[in-house]
Amino acid sequence: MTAPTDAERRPVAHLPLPAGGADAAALIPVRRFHLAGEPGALAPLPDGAVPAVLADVARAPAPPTDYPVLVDGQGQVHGLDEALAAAAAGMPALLVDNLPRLAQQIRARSGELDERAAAPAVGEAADRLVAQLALKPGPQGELVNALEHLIKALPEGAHLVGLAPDVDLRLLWRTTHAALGARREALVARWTPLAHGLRQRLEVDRHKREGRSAQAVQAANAGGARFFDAGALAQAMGTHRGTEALSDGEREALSQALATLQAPVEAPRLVVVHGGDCQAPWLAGTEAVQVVAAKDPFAEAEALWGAQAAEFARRYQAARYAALVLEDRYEADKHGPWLDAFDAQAFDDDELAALPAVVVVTSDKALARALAPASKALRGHAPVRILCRVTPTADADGPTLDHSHLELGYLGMSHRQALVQQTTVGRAAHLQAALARADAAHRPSLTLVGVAHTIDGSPPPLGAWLHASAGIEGRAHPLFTYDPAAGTHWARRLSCEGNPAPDAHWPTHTVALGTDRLEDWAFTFADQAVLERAYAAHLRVVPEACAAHPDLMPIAEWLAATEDDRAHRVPTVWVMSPQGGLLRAAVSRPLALAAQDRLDFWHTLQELVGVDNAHVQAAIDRTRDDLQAAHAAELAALQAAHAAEVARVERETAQEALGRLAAALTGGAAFNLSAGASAPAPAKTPEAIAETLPAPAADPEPTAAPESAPEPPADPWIESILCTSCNDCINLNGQLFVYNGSKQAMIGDPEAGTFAELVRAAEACPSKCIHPGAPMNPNEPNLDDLIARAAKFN
Amino acid sequence: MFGLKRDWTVTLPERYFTFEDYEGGEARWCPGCGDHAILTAVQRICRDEQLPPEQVVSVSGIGCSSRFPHYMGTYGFHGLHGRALPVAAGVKARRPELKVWVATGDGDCCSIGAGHWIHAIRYNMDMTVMLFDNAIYGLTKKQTSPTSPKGLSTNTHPRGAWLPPLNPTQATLGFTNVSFVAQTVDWNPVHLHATLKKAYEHKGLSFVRILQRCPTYTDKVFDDLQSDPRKILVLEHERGVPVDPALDRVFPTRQAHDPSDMGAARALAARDDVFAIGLLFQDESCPRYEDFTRRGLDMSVDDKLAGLDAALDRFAL
Ligand SMILES: Cc1ncc(C[n+]2csc(CCOP(=O)(O)OP(=O)(O)O)c2C)c(N)n1
Ligand code: SF4
Ligand SMILES: [Mg+2]
Repeated sequence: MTAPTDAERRPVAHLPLPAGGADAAALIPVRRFHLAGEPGALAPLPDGAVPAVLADVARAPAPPTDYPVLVDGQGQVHGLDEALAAAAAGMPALLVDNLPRLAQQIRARSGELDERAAAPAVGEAADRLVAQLALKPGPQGELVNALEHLIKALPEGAHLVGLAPDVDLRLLWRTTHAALGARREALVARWTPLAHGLRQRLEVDRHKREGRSAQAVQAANAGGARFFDAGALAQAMGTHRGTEALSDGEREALSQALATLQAPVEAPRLVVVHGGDCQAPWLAGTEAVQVVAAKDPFAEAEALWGAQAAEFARRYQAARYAALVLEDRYEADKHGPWLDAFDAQAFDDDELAALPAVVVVTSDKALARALAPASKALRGHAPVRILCRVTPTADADGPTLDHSHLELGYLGMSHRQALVQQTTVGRAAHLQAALARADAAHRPSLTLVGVAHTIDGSPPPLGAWLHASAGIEGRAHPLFTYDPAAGTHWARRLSCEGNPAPDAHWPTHTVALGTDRLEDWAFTFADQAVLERAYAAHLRVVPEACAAHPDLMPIAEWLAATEDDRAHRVPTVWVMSPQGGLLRAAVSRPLALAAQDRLDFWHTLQELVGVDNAHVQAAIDRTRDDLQAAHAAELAALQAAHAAEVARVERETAQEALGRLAAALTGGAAFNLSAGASAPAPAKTPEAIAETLPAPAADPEPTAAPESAPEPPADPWIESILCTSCNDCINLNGQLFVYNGSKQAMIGDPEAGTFAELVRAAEACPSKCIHPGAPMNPNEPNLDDLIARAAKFN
Repeated sequence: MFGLKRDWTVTLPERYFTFEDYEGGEARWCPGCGDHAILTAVQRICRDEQLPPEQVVSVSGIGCSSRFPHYMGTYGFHGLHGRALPVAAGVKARRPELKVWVATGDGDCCSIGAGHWIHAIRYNMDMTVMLFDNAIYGLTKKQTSPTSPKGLSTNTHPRGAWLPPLNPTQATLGFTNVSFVAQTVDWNPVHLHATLKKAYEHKGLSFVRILQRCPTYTDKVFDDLQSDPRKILVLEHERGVPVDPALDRVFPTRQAHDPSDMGAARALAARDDVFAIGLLFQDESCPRYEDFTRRGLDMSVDDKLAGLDAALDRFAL
């Protein structure tokens, strides 16, 4: 791949040229700050300062956000723009052109939105859009109409979900509620024939025991009873013919199984367990949700799941029993003990999937304090799901930076058999996919969700969504999925999809400095720290007098440098002040080392997925060397063969020429000038041979499509782009011919005119773009003549 | 970057314009007149570019074609015969931000307005000039125009026009500081639209000669071009008018032409065996007069009065 040219590099931020001198004396306090943390007289970053690569984003009229997202009835997340575009597919350009404005209208009101049914919300935004555009009556009607269609085309049961602090729980509820509803319905459908069969068995048995009363026979033959004597028939049917009646025990077992299968499934679909810190009052009142606060939520979750499993085991056991009985395969000695011991271990996947989702909702801080019980849950059999909210920039102990970061995800992976994922509210679709994966896993899981708030709870300077996004960008919270079910190799189990610049240390962004200087700047953990007031003490503005001093080094370079190179250097980040000035900020040593720590973890993940991995590199080198050696040997062999062949040809040609010369001189065979043509052709060169060696399978000859006779055109049509808007056809019949949105003619109502009018219009049309097709009305006069005239326009 | 999907830094314009926003009065040209196609093409470009109608001015002289401003739902100036270009230059001189479309006929531009034509080309102010060339004075009912072909019978030359026609493209290519010259025909809306769009995008005066059919008075003048597609030579170049594949069938004859080559452009304009359509010449480096006339636009009224006073004071006794 060639590096992009300057024209292709699109700057994401436009900044003034960095100014500053290289005064060594001015650098002394900067060095002191970096090494000893003494701020001295150095200014802190101004309030509202942002990382310089985000300058243009900061200047935008509203903070960027990917919310609200549209969640369909199945709990699937769709981006708002994508969902609107999908619903508007094939609709008029007037609507399609205005989708961004519609989305803007929706977003403008989504600040305070938790969630809302999509249709009314989009409907209100559509009304505001129509009012905003104030189109002329014609197009306005068309737009209103199209908007109505768009709303009808939204996915069924769709909701708009905003970036509320509990968006993870809202997505969790929507995902599990829909999925469990469907799964339980499927189970009940599986049980219905079993229950029916059991009922029949019991009925037959009842008849056998009670005999056929005359009333019963009569009742059973309602209409037909007047043709025969029910009493006599009842007598004749007797009571003890055929199979034996059920024993009391069997009857009892069947009745119990029937009752179990018929009892409505009232178990909750979602059980949320928390340690007393889950702020989602709406959950408690939500249908089929149980909220439990517990001192040890992990053990409680296991217990709750166990209780639910026992309850469901009764039903599953009844179903198994019913199936055996109905197939006449039930043997008490053989199946009895197995059924008595029936528990969750014996559930099949569909059965497991119908159990309530038991989710522990916790935070990074709480989880760090409860590692032992959480670890136990992650090693257990109960598929308890831990949903842990993580503040990406903070450590579990707060913003101290004096310990390395506790990587809960890495710790989670050490449980080997648990599903572990790191996701973020900044990527709603990724988050929902993670929740769905945990739902389908049937094993304990740990889902770490990066949240959108700052460490100290102050409003994120560029909005919540961007704050969460920056967590991924600065490698504070890389996305990953560790799925033990995906295979036996790390390469299969671990995926880091969704991270920016997956092969690099840090993502880089092109910035424009002044009018024509383009540079690529990395976004690191230290840049991300600019967005956190809690780290204010770790960043200081470098005085202008030394801002261009060579001992200042962008932190990405500093981190990549050797210890020696770092020794006298101070790492820096670029920052934009609220006034639009470009400032250089020195980074404290603890913050620089925290960036190193985050980079190290990112590198660990990269290695585990095979990026920048020493083993992989060694294998690549080895394979390349082997291939090169094999190639060189083959080439040498070919060259030797070629040389031998050339020598042979030369020898034979010379002998032949000599022979001919001798013959000519001695008056033998006539000397033929064209005889050279009979000389053996020289052998192919090694290059030519090499070319023929790996001869790729030639593409099959393209076969010509069979010429099919052109279908006779039936409907009239107009090649609208060729219409010159001359009015000729419209004047002839303004209903048959109408103008489209670009004032170019098209067929309006094909039934509003005659074939004769179509033919006359085609003849009059200066750009010959009207094709009359075939007549619709076979009784129109002069049809033969008209069809002949129409032929040359079809 | 950061998962930003759109360019968040761009503010969507509040308003949206439909084709109807650029429609004025109902066009009263004869049915089948080529002027309809040109009007539609301009309205489409305005709509596609989402130009606020109040930022658009169409300016014309006198003639059938010069009725153009009445049919545009924008600002317009229906000027005096031959004076479209000086009016347009006046608009540009003090309101350089406005988008100016000039509609002028072969009589309006090349006859009575010829003097203005030369200077407007030299001024090179940023506007799109459309020469509606129907080879006749249409409005005054069939009088010989400078572009009428020799032998055409008109009310002023009932036995046929006497002189060979003036070639407006060739002439324009000879004017000093010319920066954009293109040709097209009204009966191919695809090429017409593409040419006018290219002209609209040009920074400077773009001069587009459009062969325009007048079914009422010069019904036959373009017959040979229309009946024999080989007579239309489509110019192709990566910097030229984009050639839509839809044209392959209609205009099969092609020629590569580099629009920076003035010599080749003049030779193409002079050919009478074929009519070249597309971009003949473009040079965006030509100076534009509005860069001079806009000076002082940012001065406040008070500053201007003070300046005037100071100038007048010099004459005080
Ligand atoms: C000063 C002046 N002289 C003469 C006329 C009469 N006149 C009106 S339109 C016209 C010619 C228009 O021809 P053209 O510019 O080719 O426009 P077309 O009608 O063909 O579109 C003339 C001579 C006039 N209106 N004003
Ligand atoms: S007279 Fe000719 S140019 Fe004028 S409107 Fe009619 S057709 Fe068009
Ligand atoms: Mg004319």
